[in-house]
Amino acid sequence: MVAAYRIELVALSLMLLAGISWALSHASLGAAAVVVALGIAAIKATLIAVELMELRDAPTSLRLIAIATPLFVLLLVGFAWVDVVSR
Amino acid sequence: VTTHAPFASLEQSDLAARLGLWVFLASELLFFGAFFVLYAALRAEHPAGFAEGVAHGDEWIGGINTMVLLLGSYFVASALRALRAGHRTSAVVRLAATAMLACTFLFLKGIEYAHHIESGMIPGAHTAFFGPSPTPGLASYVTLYWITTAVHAIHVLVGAIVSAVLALGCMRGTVRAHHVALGGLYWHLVDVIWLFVWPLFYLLRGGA
Repeated sequence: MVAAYRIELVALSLMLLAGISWALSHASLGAAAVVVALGIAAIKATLIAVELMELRDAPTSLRLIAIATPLFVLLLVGFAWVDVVSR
Repeated sequence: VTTHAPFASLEQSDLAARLGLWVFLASELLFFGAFFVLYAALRAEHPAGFAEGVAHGDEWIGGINTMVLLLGSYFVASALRALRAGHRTSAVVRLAATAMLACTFLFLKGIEYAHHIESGMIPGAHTAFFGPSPTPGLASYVTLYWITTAVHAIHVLVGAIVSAVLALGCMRGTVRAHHVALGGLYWHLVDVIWLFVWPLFYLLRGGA
């Protein structure tokens, strides 16, 4: 039963998470706001990649691309950010 | 010679196409990664200018457009499920719905852009919007906002065309589930990128 409605469950979860992101943008989270907003975005992206882009059943070569690419982006963003804040 | 030459089987040909598309999506992600790198460095240097810029975004259009793209992801995924189950008409309707949602996104984004142009929130920092002494970083924010969201909007436009072409092909019987799966992968990536663009340019109104 759950498997039959898997896509619907994922879609509802994504919308719920988007609603949480939106609501939290009005909370006073200070410096944690960036981490919270991007953390929820990362959860949503993972849900889409694993379930809707079917990485769950994908060969290792495809999974490797899906894992390595965002990690490279994260590294680049991290280096750029650290460079500025450590000056 | 088979139609899937040089591959040994149709399955092998489909897998090669899938791998090729994933490599393309990876290059797309790295392309947007450059914008995210710029955002991180510039925001770290000018937190006040970026917070001020984000506050000028239309929160409602940003939020509704997020839901529109997520709904599009649902329809394209359920179209694939329908086609695999042999429900071709249902797949056509769902793919057409995805194309319509992409057009809705572009329409709303167009309204927002019109407001920005009206208020002078455009790259160049030569309009009244910026005033005589704009907050440091505000001009960089505005330029980055336009480049990132416009490039993303072009991707949504491509997503609309792909969905419409797939719906037509599905109707004529020339499209297989494999083709819808490939088109769906592209749509989902456009959605995933927006899920990061949205907080960066609409939600993070604080000075952090």
